[in-house]
Amino acid sequence: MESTRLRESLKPILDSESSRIVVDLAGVKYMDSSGIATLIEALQICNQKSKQFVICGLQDGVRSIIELARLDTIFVITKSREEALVA
Amino acid sequence: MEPKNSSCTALAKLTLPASPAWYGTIRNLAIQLCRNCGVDDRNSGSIALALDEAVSNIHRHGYHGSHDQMIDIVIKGFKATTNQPWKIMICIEDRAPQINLDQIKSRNLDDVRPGGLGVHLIQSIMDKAIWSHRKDSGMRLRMEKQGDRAGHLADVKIESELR
Repeated sequence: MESTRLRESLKPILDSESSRIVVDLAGVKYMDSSGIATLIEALQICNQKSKQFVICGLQDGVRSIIELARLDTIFVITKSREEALVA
Repeated sequence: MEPKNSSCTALAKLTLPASPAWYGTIRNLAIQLCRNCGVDDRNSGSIALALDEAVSNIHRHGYHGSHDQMIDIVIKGFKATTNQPWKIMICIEDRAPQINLDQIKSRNLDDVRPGGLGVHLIQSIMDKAIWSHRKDSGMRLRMEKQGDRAGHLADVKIESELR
C-alpha cells in the first residue's frame, strides 16, 4: 500500500470517536520514509486528540526501519493485534 | 575508495527514470547484488532502503515529481577477502537543478515530525554519504558501506563534506 493510500485510509479512523487506533502492519514487508512519515502524522493527530495510537505485527524489515529512524521509543508497539487492544 | 588488492565482484550500471514505477526494480537489484557479494539479509535490505530513499528524494525534490527524468546508478560490490570485509559502493547522478549542499540535512532525531527522514535513514545506514555538484549540471551522491562495522546502524553520521 502506498503511503498516500494509507493516509487516506487512516483519515476517517482518526476522525472517528475511537479512543484507540491500532494499525496492524503484519502484512507489510517493506516501508520507506514516506510510510514512516504517515505513521508519525497519525501519531501526532492521536496525541492532539488524546487518542492512543498503537502499531503491531511488525515484520523484521519494518521493525529495523523504525529502529533506524529511532521511532521505536515514540510509538507504542505490540507483537499482536490482541496485545494492542489492551496495551 | 575501492578496497585494495580486491577486484570488483559485481558491477551494475543503470540509467532509469527516477520514478516510483522503478523503485521496486532498483531495490530488488540492489538486494540481489548485495546478497551475491556475501552481504547478510539485514544489511542488504538496509542498503537497498538507502538507495530507495536517495532515488525517492531525487524524484520528489530534484525533479519535482516528474516521472520521466533520468538518473544514472552505479553499484559496485566487493566480496569479503581474508583481509577485508565486503564493501558496497553506490553512485547516483541526476540532471536536476543544483542545490546548495547546506540544504541537505538530516533532521534532529528529538524533533518527531514527518519530514527529513530520508536523509537521516541514508546517513544512518551507510558508512559514507557524500552529496556533491556534478561538473556541468545535476547532483551526485556517493555512498559506501562495508561489513566490519556491525552494530553501528543506529549511529548518525554527518559527513563533513556535506557542509
